[in-house]
Amino acid sequence: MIKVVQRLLQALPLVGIFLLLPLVTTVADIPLTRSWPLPLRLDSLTLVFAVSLCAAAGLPAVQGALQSDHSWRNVLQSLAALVVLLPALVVEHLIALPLALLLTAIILRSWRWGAAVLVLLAGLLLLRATGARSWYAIDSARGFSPPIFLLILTATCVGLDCYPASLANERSNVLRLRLQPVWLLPLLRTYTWGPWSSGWALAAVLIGGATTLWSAYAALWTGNDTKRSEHIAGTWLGMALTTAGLATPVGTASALWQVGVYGLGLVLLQPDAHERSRGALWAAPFPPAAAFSACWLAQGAAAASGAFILAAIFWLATLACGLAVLRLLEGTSSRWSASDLLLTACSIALGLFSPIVLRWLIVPAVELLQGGLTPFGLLDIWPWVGVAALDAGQRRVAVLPSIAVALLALVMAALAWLLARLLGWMRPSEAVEPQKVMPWDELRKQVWWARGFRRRG
Amino acid sequence: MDELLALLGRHWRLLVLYPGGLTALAGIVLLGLLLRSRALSSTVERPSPFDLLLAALWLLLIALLPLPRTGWPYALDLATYLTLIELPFWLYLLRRGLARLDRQATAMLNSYPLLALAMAALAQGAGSFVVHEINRSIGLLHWAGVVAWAIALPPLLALGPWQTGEQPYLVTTLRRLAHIVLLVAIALPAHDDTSYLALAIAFTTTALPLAALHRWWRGDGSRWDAWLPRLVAILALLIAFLSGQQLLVRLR
Repeated sequence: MIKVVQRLLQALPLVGIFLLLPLVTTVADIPLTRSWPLPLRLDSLTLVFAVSLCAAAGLPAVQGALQSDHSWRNVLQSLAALVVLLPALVVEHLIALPLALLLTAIILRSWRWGAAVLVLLAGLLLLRATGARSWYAIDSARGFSPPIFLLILTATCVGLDCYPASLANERSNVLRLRLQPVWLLPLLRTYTWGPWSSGWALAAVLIGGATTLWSAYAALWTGNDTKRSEHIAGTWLGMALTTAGLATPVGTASALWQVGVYGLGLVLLQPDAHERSRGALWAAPFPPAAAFSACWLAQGAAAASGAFILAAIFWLATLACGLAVLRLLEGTSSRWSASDLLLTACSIALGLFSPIVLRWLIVPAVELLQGGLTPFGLLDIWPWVGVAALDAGQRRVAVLPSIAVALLALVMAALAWLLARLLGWMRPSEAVEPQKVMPWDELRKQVWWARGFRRRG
Repeated sequence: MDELLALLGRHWRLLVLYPGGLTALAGIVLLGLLLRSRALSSTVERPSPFDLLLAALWLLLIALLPLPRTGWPYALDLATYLTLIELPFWLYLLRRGLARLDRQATAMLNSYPLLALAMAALAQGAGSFVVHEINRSIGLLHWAGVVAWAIALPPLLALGPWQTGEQPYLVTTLRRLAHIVLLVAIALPAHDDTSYLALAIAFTTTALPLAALHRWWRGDGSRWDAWLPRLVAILALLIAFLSGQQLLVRLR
């Protein structure tokens, strides 16, 4: 009975998703605003983050077994953090979100978040002191300057656990990991104050790119499974920060998509599980999972900006991330629970129908930030076919016709099956084979790009 | 929705006739003859349902490659092609297990940086990841990318010194075919004026050296492996230099 109550409490944030999603079309046209008791504003950008937070906090209830020894404490911490963070997302006051993040840092007992909040507060107080006409975000564009941007970017990087901040060890905390994408919100909000200078964008791209590469590398070669999960999540967040820094519509859409599917990916990854189920496979960027769409969007965003080396780095990170998930799965049981099937179905549905979700949920949020974005990377959506990234000359630089390819794949699989049956090729039934264990440590000594960094652990 | 159904109705021949379906099967037979594998013969182990799913995926990729006279309007980009070929193959490797699993895995992991840079060079030269756009490019970066890609292929496909001693198998032959045809698709001007004969010649001239290397090079590939980091560095410098020049021209 206690377990059921715990599970219901943990699933409470999922109700929030069902309350928020019907508002998508409403706030896409005109944001919901209230001026009493405080100026409140619920727009498409806030909605994406609110849905993402609710999904990250509530989906573990679907996953089933509460793994931690202090599960009551975890559930209550998670709910308390949401109660603090969700209202702060919609309050227009400059200090509301940092204060909520500070309270969350206290709830989570995270010195990293605490430090990030102090830097963010310093940036916003400087903004108020140097040019903002009031304490409200809408009146603050005039005071936005390089030192303030630098402080907000630093806070984002520390909060997101970016490289090199990630080298400073902090005790693993799954709840902190789940809520981490919220740190992108202050940075993305700065687009409403006007375009970034190219130097600022370059700084964000460099830090994000380094984080992506470092996290993917560490995820593949580290010997600790908990750390591996954290590094995989770090790769996703690194991609989100980099694409946010590209300052293009497709880049921002990629960052927001990464934020949107982060909670689902993390639940599939099961960072706190003692023994993972096979559903974790779909946290890898395997087609047509949501993580695959996220990685493709990041590659497309980089390509649309003309940064093909960055796109190649993202491709390598995608592969490394996939291999890291396979490494996580080595030696686990081959069981599939009903919750695994449900979460996998969600991931596949999100990945397949990403063009529709992008148009419905993400594009309105990108349009909100349009004033600060450059046209060097646009998103072209064919709702029932797929999605493409376009460069400044409207030329296709990356194409993912996810729905069309899925339909053709179904036809092709049926044809192959029919042919194999007719010719008597197919084995009638497959014996369940245990997965082979790859000698990763031996492998590392023979791979030239891994051997060179071996001492860093 | 109508667009989706019309797409399927108009392009079924891609799956059944060309470049997938019958053409792909002919490609497998030809590659099998060249590499002395017996991918389609009845003596080889029969594929499991999982293997068949993988085979269908790679057949689909071959069918959707923008080869001459295909007319497929939504060609995938290079990065997606490579991800779809490589990531499922790792699943296959771990699931099936090879006698020399680590050898194949090492060769693949060693080749990926060069492959990624080759892809970046091709895309930088053309300004796009889409193969149709890459086909129009003829600059230095384009050909450097094609050469680097070709250099990365033997270890990636476990040919010659990197062969694992595994029994020839339909699924692995299909992956090899997908990689070789992808390289052909990049190197050819794949618009509708290009004849089928050009495609056949390009495929043969790509597959023949790989087959010769596979059949007759029995030594070890350590020197090749030792050159990979240097090639990566050279290609990275070339991309950086030429991209810098492009940027300067744009700024002027």
